[in-house]
Amino acid sequence: MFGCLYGASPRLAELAEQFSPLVERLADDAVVFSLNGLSSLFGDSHQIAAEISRRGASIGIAANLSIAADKTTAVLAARNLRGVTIIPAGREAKALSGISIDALPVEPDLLATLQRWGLRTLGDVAALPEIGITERLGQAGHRLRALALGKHVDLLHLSRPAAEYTAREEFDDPVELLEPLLFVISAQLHDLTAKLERNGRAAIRIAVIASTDSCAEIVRSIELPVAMRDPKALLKQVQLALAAKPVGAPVTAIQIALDPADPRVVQGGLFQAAGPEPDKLQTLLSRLRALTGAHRVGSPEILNTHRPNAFQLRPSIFGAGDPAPVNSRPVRLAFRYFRPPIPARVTMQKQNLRQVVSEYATGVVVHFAGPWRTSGEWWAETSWTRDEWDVVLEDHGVYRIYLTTSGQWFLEGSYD
Amino acid sequence: MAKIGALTRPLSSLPGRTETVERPDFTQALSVVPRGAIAEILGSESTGRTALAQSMLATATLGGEVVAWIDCDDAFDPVSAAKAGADLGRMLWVQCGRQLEIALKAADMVLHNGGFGLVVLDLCNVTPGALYRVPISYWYRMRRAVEHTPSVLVILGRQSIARSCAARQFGLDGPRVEWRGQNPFQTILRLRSDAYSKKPVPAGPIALDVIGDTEEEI
Repeated sequence: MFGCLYGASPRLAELAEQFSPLVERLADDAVVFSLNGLSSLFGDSHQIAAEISRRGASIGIAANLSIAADKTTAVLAARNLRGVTIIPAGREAKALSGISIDALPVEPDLLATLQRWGLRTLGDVAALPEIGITERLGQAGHRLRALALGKHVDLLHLSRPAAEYTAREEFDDPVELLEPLLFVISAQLHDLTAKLERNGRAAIRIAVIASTDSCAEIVRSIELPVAMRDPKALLKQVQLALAAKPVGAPVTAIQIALDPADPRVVQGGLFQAAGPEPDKLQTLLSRLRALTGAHRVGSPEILNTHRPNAFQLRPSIFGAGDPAPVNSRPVRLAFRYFRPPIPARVTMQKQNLRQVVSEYATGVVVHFAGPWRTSGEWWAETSWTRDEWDVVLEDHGVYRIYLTTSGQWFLEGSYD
Repeated sequence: MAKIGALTRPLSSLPGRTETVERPDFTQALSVVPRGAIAEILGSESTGRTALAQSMLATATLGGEVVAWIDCDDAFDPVSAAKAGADLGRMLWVQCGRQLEIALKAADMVLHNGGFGLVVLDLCNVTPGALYRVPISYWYRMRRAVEHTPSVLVILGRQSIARSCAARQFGLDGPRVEWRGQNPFQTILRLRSDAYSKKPVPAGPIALDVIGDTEEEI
């Protein structure tokens, strides 16, 4: 079963895509789409037509709608019969009989021949004998009669353009405050995420393009570590991004563009430990970044080097965790860094460390181990060379101190 | 999802459920702190506070949980945590740049977000004066956020910070270092301190053994 929409609205395809992924754009004013499988959702043809009409009205579309068993009949009916037309199977010829032959998709010469024969409607063409018209017009005649009878079999020619998820709103008066701007963005995000959901997609990147009084376009791009389509979560991301880096000028137009991606699929399990929900986690990370700084939040990753204090933070994405059997394990010594290292004054006597004085820890050295000379990455700017000692001060604190090649002492951290 | 997780792993069966409060087994790190509550690990420098917390971190991440480490002083060492057995990929590290207010706000956000099995708030290097200026209402708010959830908030510090809001409190004292090798080229074999349970029942001391790098690692 096929449906055809014919009208002057540019959103016909969008309406059709709400019901089927199989949509053929015939022209700017006509789309035809498959209705197979919709009966289990909406009911019979009348109920499907009612639902299409209702949704069309809700987005302001005025168009003819036809439903028929084959594509060409649906197209002919939508183009030539006003309002909603439902053609039951087997009654195509009767439904099309009143349509002028001018509506037939045939060559002008052939149409002129039919007019010379005195044929005016599709009903006249359908009444012609099949053998007679085929003898006179060949395959074209056979096709013509099949069209008039509603028995012409034609497949959908799908050419689906990449869906765009962009919404733009222009303002009569420039908007200066973030709150009213977010109100508009919220509505845009709701529309765009509904479209994403219909297409089984999610957003991986949000671009906020603000036009200002000075005709400059200010772009804020928000990368999402996981694809999501919850409008509230996306709005929070936009809010935090605009709050952290304001546009700085009255906004005359705002455009939201979402980059689509496949939604994240997670196989859950009853025995898996619960973790933060991805949408809420992204909002949390954005809020933490706004609070602490952009590069101070994430999951640590140890770099493949012997350089002390070498790590990087990468975006946190927590998948489902499979619990492993946790046996009793010894408590391992931990190190605490001073970032940056604290300058210190160290008193030495015959290669023995006697006293450490620093902003953080000061005292007589009770015990020390070292020096341990470490160096590396001489080929890079990150090169280091130093002598390290582990020292126990009189307060029982165990610290690591080091001496650079330039003769400066630093307190690097403590064992705890 | 959180509810399902909580149902399938009731609090009584979670590794964090306290069985013996008088003689905690520190080798089962998470078993010494109760879920849905605030626990404090208190002690001076080099008493093993961070080591104990990192052991909990390892236990939680290996159990499939997600952990947050709110690091007021940017002191966390990922290498130590990895050696303790932690899965760093299941950890959120928040560096607060030595700003106590940011650390408290970050902890509050993380707790209210939910989904983290263990939240460590590291305030070891914060001065007592700054900590005493934190209104007690902050800790009540955090206790409220964590109770009736399968999460634990573990606070590391020198002295009691959450005060009456903490359900469990450990004090670590008297650190002693045992060395390996010939002087002066020695490495730390073991750090031993005395652990006291201060809440809910005063008990102790119990020896807390913190082992250093093994010979293979050196």
